[in-house]
Order: sequence, then structure tokens, then C-alpha cells
Amino acid sequence: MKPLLSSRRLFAASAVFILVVNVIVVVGAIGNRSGSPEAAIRLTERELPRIHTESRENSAMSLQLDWSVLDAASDNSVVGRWGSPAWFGVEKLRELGFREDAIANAGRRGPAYKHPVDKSAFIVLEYDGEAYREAVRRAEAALADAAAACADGCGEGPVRDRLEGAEKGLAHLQNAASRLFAIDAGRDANRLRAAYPDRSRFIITSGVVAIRGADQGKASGRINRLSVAAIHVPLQFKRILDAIPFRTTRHYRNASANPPRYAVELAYGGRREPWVQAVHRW
Amino acid sequence: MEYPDAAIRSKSEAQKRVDRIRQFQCELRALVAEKVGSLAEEQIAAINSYHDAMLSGLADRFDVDATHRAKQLSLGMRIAAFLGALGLAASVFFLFYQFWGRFGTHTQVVLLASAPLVLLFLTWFAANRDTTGYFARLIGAVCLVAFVLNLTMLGQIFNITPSDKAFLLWALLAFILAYATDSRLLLAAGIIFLSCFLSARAGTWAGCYWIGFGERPENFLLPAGVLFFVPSILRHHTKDGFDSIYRTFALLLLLFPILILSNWGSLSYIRLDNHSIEVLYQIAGFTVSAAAIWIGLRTGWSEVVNTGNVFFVVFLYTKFYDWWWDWLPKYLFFLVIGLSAVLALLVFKRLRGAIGTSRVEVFQ
Repeated sequence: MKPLLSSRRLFAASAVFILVVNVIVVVGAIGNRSGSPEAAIRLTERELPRIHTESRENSAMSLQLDWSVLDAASDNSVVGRWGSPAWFGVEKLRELGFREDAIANAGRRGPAYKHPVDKSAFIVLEYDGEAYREAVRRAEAALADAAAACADGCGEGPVRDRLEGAEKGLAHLQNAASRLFAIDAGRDANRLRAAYPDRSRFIITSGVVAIRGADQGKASGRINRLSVAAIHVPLQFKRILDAIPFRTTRHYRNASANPPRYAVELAYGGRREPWVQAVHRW
Repeated sequence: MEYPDAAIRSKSEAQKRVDRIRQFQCELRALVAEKVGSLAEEQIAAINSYHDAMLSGLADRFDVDATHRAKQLSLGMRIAAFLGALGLAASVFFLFYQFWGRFGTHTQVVLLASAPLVLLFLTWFAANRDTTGYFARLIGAVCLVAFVLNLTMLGQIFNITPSDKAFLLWALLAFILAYATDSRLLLAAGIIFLSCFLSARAGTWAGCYWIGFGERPENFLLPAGVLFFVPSILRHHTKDGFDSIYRTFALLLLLFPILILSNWGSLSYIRLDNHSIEVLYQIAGFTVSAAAIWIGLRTGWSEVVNTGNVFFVVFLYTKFYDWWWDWLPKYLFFLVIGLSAVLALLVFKRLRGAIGTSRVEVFQ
């Protein structure tokens, strides 16, 4: 009688295992894309630039989902993803499941300090909405302030630099920066969708959040990353984008000379995982 | 064919028997040369005939090293197999990345799923054709890498949300291949993947995002506990070194987190002030490593003794550093280190002597 764990049985089990796992993964992916998309949104090169880390060792192409947050400080015109948005305060931290002692001790390096841990959450991304318009208003206000400081002439120096920086910042925001802004987070994706029902403007996807050190005595949160931020481009669309020269970060900063050159129809399925439905070249 | 010693079940047991036979032959020649005594010619012929049959049988069944030179070559083969596995695995990995973007999604999926299956077939083929097992283990390792690549790249193609379940799947295949090919390298890979999965789960249960499982070293205590008792549940009579691998990793997964937490209490789940946590874990570190040495000596598990020794020394020297580095002159600090090592040598020498005495008493 053969032993239960004979080599032959183990090899057979391995083959079956590999097949079954692949079938499950592929069926799951097909399931995510079946039925009506959970979200279907048209984004441009501004929101989906090509990944900067592509190399000759990797022949595939991915697009980076670029997004920002509107910082809580109303006079902060700098836009990025590392700020702490006004909506991500103590109440939101509690809602996302962060412990009271972690909230109370955020940023305080005392004897009871605990290294903060991340949590998963669903993030709401708004496309070309109120958050983006507010960011533009702040940039315009910053430019107005800088111009006022230069009203009597400012030569070379920090005042001139500030004016130039404000001009570039506004141009970048208006012409090249992403119009996707994270505006909310929660643990229940269905509840978030009920609150943001427009599937052509709001993406609800999974991400990772953390507590940020306390500002002015109050803890706040930040979004560390989205779970899926690099979106694979299938071959049929890759051929379209291959014809478009790759841009480096330096090009993106020169906003007025480098408008977006393509649009991408992006869909999210039942598992909140995205895929590219179409690519349009301008 | 009837083998003289059918009770031998693994290669290590066979190798030990071969080594004893060779040592017996050398010792017998030495006794004859020193005119201590000799055996009758019929007895020598009978013993030699028995040993020749034994050695031949063991070489057929287990591919043992009959001479010291053969042992050295075997070591070289193991190193070559390990490097070959690493090189081939890296090659497979980069080969995919170089060309996968030129294929459509269906072709990519077929290629990714086929690669580990083809390599699995080659592993099986090698296992059946080559009695040494080196080729099967080499190709088995590449098969595992192909499976890791399989799932990783399917995840990229379909933009799948990363999950800790991938670790479990990789661990399962690694374990199956390890037991199919008697590969300790694959077993170690399976243990590492399983530990990552269990730690990530422990982290998730504690409310953390799974990728951050390393930020709370206590997440590794669960896999450490599981691994330590596996050899007690699964008997590995025919699998050389498997028990040692399980126990060694179990101790590493137990003692490394304790070492980290004994210095950085802020990484602990325990809701005490960090200094108290560090003290607790320092005590735990000394206790666990000393217990490992004691258990290892009692049971004959040399890997447990060695791991316990290493960590005991690390904990001790860490305390010396905490106490004296800042205020002792450096020459005195290192003198203390050296003297403590000498003291340890004296203690071990005494222990060894006690163990040796008790063995003499047993044989008397």
C-alpha cells in the first residue's frame, strides 16, 4: 500500500493545486468585471500618467492613479497626497476603528507612545469636483497675495521666487495636475456609494490610512496609499500609448507646454478593482 | 534485493551507518597495528563481507558518501544546486518581465499558469530519473518561483487588491514540493511564507492592515508556536533535517521578536508603558533562550541548543551595552565581554564533562 504522502501523490496534488488556484484567480477577476461597473469614469493623462519606473527590463505598461487631498489649512495652496484633509479628523479616525489611546497619543513620544499601525479603509475619490475647485481658488489667492507683495517691483529674491512659484503652481493645477481628490473614507463601501451615488464622478476604492501626528493638539489622519494605484494597460491599449512619447516629471512641471495627450475610460468592478476599458488619443 | 539493515529509513541514518563502518575499519586496523589484539581470519572475512553488502545496499538506496572525498564533492553539489536554483529562478523572473508586455491578456494568463505546471512536470521527471535528488530540488525551487510569479503577475494584470492569502498559497505549494523532493530549501521557503501569512492574519485580527504585520513583532509568536510543535505531530523519519528546520525557524520567530521588543517597547500590543514592556521582554529573552538550551541538551536537539546559545549571548551583550557602554572606558567594556565569554567557556566545559561522566557510568 502506498504511503499517504508518496511522491507521486504529492506531485499530482501540486498539479491540481496550481490549476485550481489559477482558475479561482481568473474567475474572480472575471467576476469583478461582470455586470455593470461599480464606477465608470473618464480620466486623462493628468490623472493617469505612465509609471515613471518603467525600464527596459519590463515590457509591460502601467498607469499611475494620481490623486491629491485638500489640506485642512485653508491658506495652504500646496496640493499633494501627504496632507491631512479637513474631513479626516478625530471623528473619522474613530469611525475607521483607530483606538482611543492611539488617537490620544498620536505624535506624542512619551512613555506610552505606540508606533502607529495602518488600517484598511475605502477611499472616495472625486473627479473634477468641489475639492479641485477649492484647490484652484487657493492657488489663485496665493498668486494674488504674491502679486500684491510684488506690486511695487520685487527684483530678484524670495519675494520674486514666491511670485514665480505661485504662478507655476496655479498653471500646474489648472493644466497638468490631477483633478482627483480624496474626499472621504469609511469601512462600508456600500454606505459610501449611497452617500456619493454618481458613478461617473466618484470612485470608491480600497486604501490604507494611518494616524498623523497631532496638529495643535488634535490628531488627524492621512491616506498612505491606495491598494491598487498602478493600473495595468492591456496590449491593445498599450499600442496606442506606445506611440505617445514618455514624459518625465520635469515635463509635468512645465504645465502650459504639456497638456494631456490621452484619455482613459476606467471602470471599477464589484471588488472595487479597476481595469482599462478604452484609451483615446488626442 | 534483501538489505542487511532494513531499519534504516533516511539518508542521514544511512550516512551515519557508513561513517561508523569506516571508523570501525580504521580502528580495527589501528588495534592490529598496535598489536592490541586481532580477530580470526574467518571473522574478518565475515565482517568484511557483511559490511560490503551493507555499503553497497546503502549506496543503492540512499546515495551515501562512502569516502571523505565523496563527502566533499556532495557538499559542492549542494552548493552548486543552491546557486543554480537561485540563478534559474531569477532568470525565469526577469524573462517574464522582459517579454510579458508583448502578449495579450489571454496569452499572458496561459503562459503564467503553464510555467509552474511545466516545471512541476520536469521536477517529477528529474525525481524519477536522478537518485541523488539534486536536480529535482533545483527544478522544484524554480517551480516555486514560477508559481510566485504566476500569482504576482496575475495580480498585476487584473489589478487585484493585494491579499495575505497569496502567502498561504505559496506556502502550500512550497510544502508539497518540499515533501515530494526532500528539499530543506523549499521547506524553509514554505515556513517563511506560512509565517508571513499567520503573522499577517494575527495583525488583521488585532485591527491592523495586513501588510504592516512586521510593525508588531508579537504577530510572529503565533507561527512560532505552530512551527515548534509540527515535528511532534508529523514524523519525519525519512526526511533528513526537516525537524531541525521547523525547530530552528520556530525559535528564530520567537526570539527575534523578543529581541526587538526588549529594545523597542513602542512596537508592542501590550498596553503598558514602554519601559516596562522592554523589561518584561528582556526577562523573557533570557528565560526562553536558557530554556531552549536546557531543552536542547535534554532532547539532543543540537539546533535548539545552538540557537538558544546565540540568542542568550545576544541578550547578554545587549544588556552589557545598555549598562556600561556609555560610562565604561571602551577597553574595560570589551574586557568584560571577553571575560564573560571565558566564563561561559568554563561553564560549558564543566557541563560537557558532566555529560561525558554520566555516559561512562551508563556504559559501566
